[in-house]
Amino acid sequence: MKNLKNIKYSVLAFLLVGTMVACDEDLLIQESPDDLTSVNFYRNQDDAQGAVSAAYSQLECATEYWSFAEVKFVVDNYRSDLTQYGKDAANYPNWTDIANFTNEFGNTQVSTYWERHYKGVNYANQVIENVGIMSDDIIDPTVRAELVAEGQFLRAFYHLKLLLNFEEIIVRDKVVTSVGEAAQGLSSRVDAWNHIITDFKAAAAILPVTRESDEIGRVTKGAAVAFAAKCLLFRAGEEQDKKLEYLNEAKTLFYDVVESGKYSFALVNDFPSMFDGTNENNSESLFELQLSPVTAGGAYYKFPSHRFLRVSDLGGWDEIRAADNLMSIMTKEGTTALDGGYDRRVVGSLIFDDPAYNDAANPPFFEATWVNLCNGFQSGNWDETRRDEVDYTDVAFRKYLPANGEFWENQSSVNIPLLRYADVLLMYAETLNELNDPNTALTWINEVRTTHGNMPELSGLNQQAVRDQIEFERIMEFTMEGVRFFDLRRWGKLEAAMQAAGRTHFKLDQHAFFPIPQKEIISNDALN
Amino acid sequence: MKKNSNNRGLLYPYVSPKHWRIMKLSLILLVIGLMHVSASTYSQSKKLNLRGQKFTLKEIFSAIEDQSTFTIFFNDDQVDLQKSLNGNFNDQEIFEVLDKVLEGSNLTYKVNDKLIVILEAAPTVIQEQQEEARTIKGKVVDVTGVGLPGVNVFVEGTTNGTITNIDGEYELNIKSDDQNIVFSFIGFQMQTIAISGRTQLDITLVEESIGLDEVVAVGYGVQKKSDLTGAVASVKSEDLSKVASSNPAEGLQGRIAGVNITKGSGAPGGSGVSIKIRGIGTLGGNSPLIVVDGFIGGDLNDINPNDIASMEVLKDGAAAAIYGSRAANGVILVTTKKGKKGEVQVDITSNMSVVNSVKNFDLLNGSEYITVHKMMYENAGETLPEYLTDGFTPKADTDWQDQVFRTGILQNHNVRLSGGGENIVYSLSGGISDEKGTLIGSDFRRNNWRARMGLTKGIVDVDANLAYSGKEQHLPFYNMTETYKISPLIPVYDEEAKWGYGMAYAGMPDHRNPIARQNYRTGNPTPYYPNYRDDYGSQEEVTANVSGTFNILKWFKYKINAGYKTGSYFNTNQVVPHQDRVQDEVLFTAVDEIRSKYKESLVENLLLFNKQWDKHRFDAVLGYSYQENKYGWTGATALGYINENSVDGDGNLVTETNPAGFLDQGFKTIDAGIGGEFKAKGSNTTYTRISYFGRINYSFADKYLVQLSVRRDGSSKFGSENQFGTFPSVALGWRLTEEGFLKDQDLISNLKLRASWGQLGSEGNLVPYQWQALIKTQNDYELGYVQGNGQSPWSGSAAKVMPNDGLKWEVAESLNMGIDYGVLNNRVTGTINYYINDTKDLLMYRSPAISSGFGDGIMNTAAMRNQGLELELTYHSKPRAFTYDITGTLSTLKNEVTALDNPDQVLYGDGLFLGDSHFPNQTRIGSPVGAFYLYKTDGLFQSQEEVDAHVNADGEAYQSAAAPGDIRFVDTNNDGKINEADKVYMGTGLPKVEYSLAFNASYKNFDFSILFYGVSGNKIYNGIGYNLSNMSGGSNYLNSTLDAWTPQNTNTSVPRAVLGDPNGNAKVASDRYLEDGGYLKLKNLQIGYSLPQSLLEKVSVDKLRVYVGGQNLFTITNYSGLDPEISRTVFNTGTDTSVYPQTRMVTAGVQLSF
Repeated sequence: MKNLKNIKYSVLAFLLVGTMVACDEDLLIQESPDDLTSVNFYRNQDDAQGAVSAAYSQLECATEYWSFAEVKFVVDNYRSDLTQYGKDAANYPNWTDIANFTNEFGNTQVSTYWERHYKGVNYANQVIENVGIMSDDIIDPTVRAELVAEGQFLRAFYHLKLLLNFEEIIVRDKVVTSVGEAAQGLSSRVDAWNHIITDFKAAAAILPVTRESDEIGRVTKGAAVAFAAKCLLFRAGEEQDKKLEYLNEAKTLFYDVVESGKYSFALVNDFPSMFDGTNENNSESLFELQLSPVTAGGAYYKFPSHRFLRVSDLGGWDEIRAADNLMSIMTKEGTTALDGGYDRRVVGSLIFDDPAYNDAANPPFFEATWVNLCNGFQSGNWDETRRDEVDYTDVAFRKYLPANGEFWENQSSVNIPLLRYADVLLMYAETLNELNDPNTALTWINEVRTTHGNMPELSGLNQQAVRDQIEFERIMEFTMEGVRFFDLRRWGKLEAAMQAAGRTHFKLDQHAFFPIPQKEIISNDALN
Repeated sequence: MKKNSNNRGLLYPYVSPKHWRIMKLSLILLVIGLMHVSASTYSQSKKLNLRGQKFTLKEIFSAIEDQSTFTIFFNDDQVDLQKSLNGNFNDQEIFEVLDKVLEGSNLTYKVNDKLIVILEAAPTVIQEQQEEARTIKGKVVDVTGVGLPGVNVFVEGTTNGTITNIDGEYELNIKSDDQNIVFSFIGFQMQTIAISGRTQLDITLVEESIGLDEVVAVGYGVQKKSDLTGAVASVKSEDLSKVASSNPAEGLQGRIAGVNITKGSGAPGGSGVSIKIRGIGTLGGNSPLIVVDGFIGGDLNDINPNDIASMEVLKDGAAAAIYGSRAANGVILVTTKKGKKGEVQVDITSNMSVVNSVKNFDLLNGSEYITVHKMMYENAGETLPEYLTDGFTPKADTDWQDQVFRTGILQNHNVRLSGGGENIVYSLSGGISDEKGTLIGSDFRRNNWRARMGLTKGIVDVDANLAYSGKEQHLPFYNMTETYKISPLIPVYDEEAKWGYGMAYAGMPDHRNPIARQNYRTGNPTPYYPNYRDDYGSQEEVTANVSGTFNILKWFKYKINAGYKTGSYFNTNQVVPHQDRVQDEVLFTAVDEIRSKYKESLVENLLLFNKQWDKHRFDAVLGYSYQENKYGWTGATALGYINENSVDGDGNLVTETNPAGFLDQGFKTIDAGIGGEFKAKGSNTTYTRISYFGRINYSFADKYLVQLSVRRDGSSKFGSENQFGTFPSVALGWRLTEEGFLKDQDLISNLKLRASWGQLGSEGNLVPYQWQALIKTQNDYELGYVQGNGQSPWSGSAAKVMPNDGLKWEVAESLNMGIDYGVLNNRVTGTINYYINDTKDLLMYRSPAISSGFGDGIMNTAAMRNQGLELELTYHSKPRAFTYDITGTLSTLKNEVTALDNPDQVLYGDGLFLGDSHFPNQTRIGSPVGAFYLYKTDGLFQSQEEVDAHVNADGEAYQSAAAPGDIRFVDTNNDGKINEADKVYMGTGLPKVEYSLAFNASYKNFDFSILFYGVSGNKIYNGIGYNLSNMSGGSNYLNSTLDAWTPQNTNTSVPRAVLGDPNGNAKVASDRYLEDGGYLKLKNLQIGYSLPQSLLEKVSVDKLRVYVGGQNLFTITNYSGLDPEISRTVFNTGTDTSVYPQTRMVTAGVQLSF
């Protein structure tokens, strides 16, 4: 009886073991429930468009809440001799290191700048490689070619920003697939320029001239040509032996953008409107960082950059302000504008205590006068008697401060121009002048002066005078737009300018470019 | 004495000897009860009623016990209860029957009062008639004073002996007065006492804690300690109960050599406790695998320490290999308490502790703050901000540490009911742990319930275990670094401020007011990391584990084990409009919730074999298991605003953000936000494992021991190429004391040599699907952009990490050699182990070159070796009124990275400055993982001449921005520059030696235990010190910065205070912040008093013990930070950064059993 029972249990046991062991090993294949993989993504045109969005996402260090202002503005503008860091910035040595040129030991802002731009390069490469091989039956070949060209433009743009900041960069022309492949050394500056210019030109060949309204903000052919020309002009300042060759080629390309009639770029009359959110993607904009107040579906593309930019009297955090002499430089022509005031670009770029800001009948600053603005931030107890408490020597930047209700809010979503037609014209003028044609150069300078500044035309200047005028016009036009330091460098004026600005730690051989970030060196086996 | 050791433990009731004491009470009651009923019928000539022809020995014994007042004792090892007997036993006297059934065996019996003891015939303990005899009498009692029946009492060196009666009394004839009497009883320490003319000899026997017959869990079974071939250490509940903590891991600290328990934070709930077995084995998580009553994969922090009967730590490869791919960091087996047959026993324990932080920082007060900041600004040539100008009147002088610290309270209360009948044992327990943290806004509460039940039906044994754990934790919303850094000039409350809380003013640095931050937020502030399950706000877990064992043949069992565990997690937090720092005004209410659910099921089928032929003994297990793990989560955020878009007169899109929803600020649900905006997220993962495994143990004559095991594991975390890994092991043991040449000596009572080799695996920190290059889609700055006239958000898609379908198992190869020893009749016992663990193909998160544009990915790279020596030694005192034992442990550890991707590779730890600079740790071949590589400093420049003289061979200044008072750095490689290449190895955060000393004693009703624990040979990089003394801008600093160099104060090691730190005095990781990390701590102290038995009997209480104690009572160290006991990730070993400060506890408690 007992034996039988044992047999019964034994059989049961072995049966159970048998069924369990026979369990399907296919259960070991588990795949993500909501992510596609690089193998099964890129199914159709929508996927390809999504890939392109990612390639744009890292522009200007990505629209991340804090680091947009703290990285982009700090890295792009703190080194300029015409800015200084604000009072609160003294608390952040990682920022002031950049202004003071004491960043030898690795700097958080610089490495973030590097990292974000290379992410952009990577996402652009993912477009170029993966969209490029999508077959005709899943994507319209014309669309595919345009998307790949968009990727190439963006790759060139990220590389360009890096090359402006670092003497040598790593040119990434493909998606890396292993740590070993990721370990790649620095390219020579010449190779890097070649790669960037080639990319811009290749993009220019395919990109559309204009965008449909639902694609406004995405790159166009004109932008690609203009950037190729800009690269050549900058390069001409660096490689003396090929200066003429580059200038001539730049001239051809600038001509194409300005004079060929293929494009319809035109200067905007109302200078401040380009930076305060009231005239985004205007006729002067070749390339512009797109931001949005729309947060539907969890989207977020805005940040407190305006608070970063404002001085404390205007309720800001006081992180950046104009250099002490910027006001006097910009107003050196006095109130000689055609309307009897300052060059309009002064008022469009800076905020300061001046009758020009306090004309209640015609408030130039959004819908407020300067006094109204201070009022708004002086905890409600403001009256004229407290004017003395305000530090009138504080000159803040007006650029990028929103004119709409966002001025009073915590976040701003005003677009930021990345290449304006005024820049194209001034660069065209510079190219022509360097090719010894100061008179033609002056016509383009005058177009910018009159339209933006409402200033009288200039004439009869020689080549050097035109050079000086171009420098002045570029100060007037591009303050806070992150070009000053690079202009000084390609003109060979960096050392003198830094001395004059009292940057005592500046050494041309060490600080004309940032050192390669420590984070790159330690992660890149080809560098460490 | 060796020859007598066979006499130990002759007697054996139906329950295991360890539990004799617990059984005894009910046994006595039983006997007394029977006597009442049967006193009149009691007779030695009682005849048995046994109808039938065929019986087992067990049936006969049962009949005797049922039909008489006798209780039969026997030793399990000697008596084969299943032995079948043929014949007629009906209507025969008890002793006739006994004679008959034992006939032909080597067993005999002995009767004492109402006990029948079955004994081995040789060596027989019989009462010899002595001519010149006199008698000696006495009583043998246990530590509680209760008589012990069945104790062997005999004259040393003779076969003259007896056993004690039911009351523990004995009477023995002796020849002379100069003889010794030996008292021995299984489960108790043997005692030998000289007669010295006495006629009455009463003694107290003390329970044995190191018995070689002790059984330890080894994974898929148990083994006698004497049969172990691997490095297995065991900690029993008595030791665990000495630590008042909600996390059982804390009770392990200092108990086992080679097991490092670090409590790196004082956060309530013991969540900061890390366990490392034999150093850093892998680069991912280093937590050992926790197996609770056979259920694989658990968290010690979910278990009530009071429910634990024992914890076994499988340290070496051979012991752990049966758990294969998850055992690379060692295995901890947790066995919970079972019930025992008998009446319901109630155990209540309760304790309360007062908790305080061990130390605070000496920070600058208001005027000192101004002094140091003024130096900083003046030295940098910057204009003084308003708060540093003369005549400035500060609003306050706030001690922010005072504001956030308080005295915490920890309470633990537990009740357990246990008992059992013929076919059932049960244990039910419930416990509450409640802690109020030492920082405001922090607390922890856990409720535990557990039911464990054992059933026997026919040949089937069922063990069922059901456990519930519910936890809730709050951590402060403010962070400690900000709390240290905020200016003392800022008041806590400020009526002038819009929100009523003080914030930066007069140009002082902006930091969060911790009190404001805490007061405007509610909920569980744990970060929003769905992939890290150990972050919890509120968490509930239920584990159900049932196993059925079919005892099919005596030597063959089948066992099925089915386990199910489910956890649900809930995090919430609400923030209402407020401002806690100038730069961050919160305008709208937001409520954030995340809920997740976790399900894990396990099915195991085991075939168990156990067979003995003559001197050959085999034990084997063969198994198959399937495990499935599902995790899903959803998160929702209700934002108390709405964006209203319109187009203005110029055709521009205008968006206004206006408050919406949250009609009442007290509303904290997602629904309360209706009218505003919502966000949601969620996903799920599935992870499966399939395993085949087997183990065979063979022993010959108990002398030679062999164990072989192998496990083959498959996991869905790997690509199809490398899903399976096979992990074999072999172990050998030799018990020298069983050999003839060690038989006849008294010195060595136990000696065993062991050697083992095994391979273990690890999945590291792999998360499901990681082998695939997933395309992520996002609609924010990470991947998205904006396009079109309508400024439409445009979601983007890209691969953020590189694909890696070649991922494979990480393999740890472990070699262990060990000695277990016992000398002087096991008065001194211990273990010595030496091991070498080699881990290769380490799964490691690492960043490919930043410029690749890819984030950190996981890959197989690197190899590492850990080797060390572990010593454990215990001395047990002779049993007297004052008994004690002393245990010392010592372990050494040497860690070395043996391979990386390429020979020159350097892997950095975290940069202490926002992750991007100030890197103290590096991992390189040839040095320990996460070692300190630092700039070398050479004092301060005392003058401009010294600065000017610090030039390289070409006359170029080494430090162009230096000024007097700055640090002089050393060009260690003499390349004319001071840069990263000048960093040199300066030690490791891994202790070279860890040691502990535990002392336990009892005197009469008092007991005492104390545990010291220490480490040495390690360094600590004082990362908090760096943060609080860099003087480069923007924060409050340590008091020591007052001693900064000035032309007047040159005799100092603190460099000058200068805003921006142009020379990099603090910007770089240098030896300036490296300190000796050795320490010795009084971890644990407890003094207890058990109320006398005589008193307790009157109120029917078995035990009532009260105690007071403390934890972390003092620390001897040179480290200047808050506490040298720090825990950090592998690549940042030994770097101290801001955490929840460590605590010190004073505890009072009570234990009650009835």
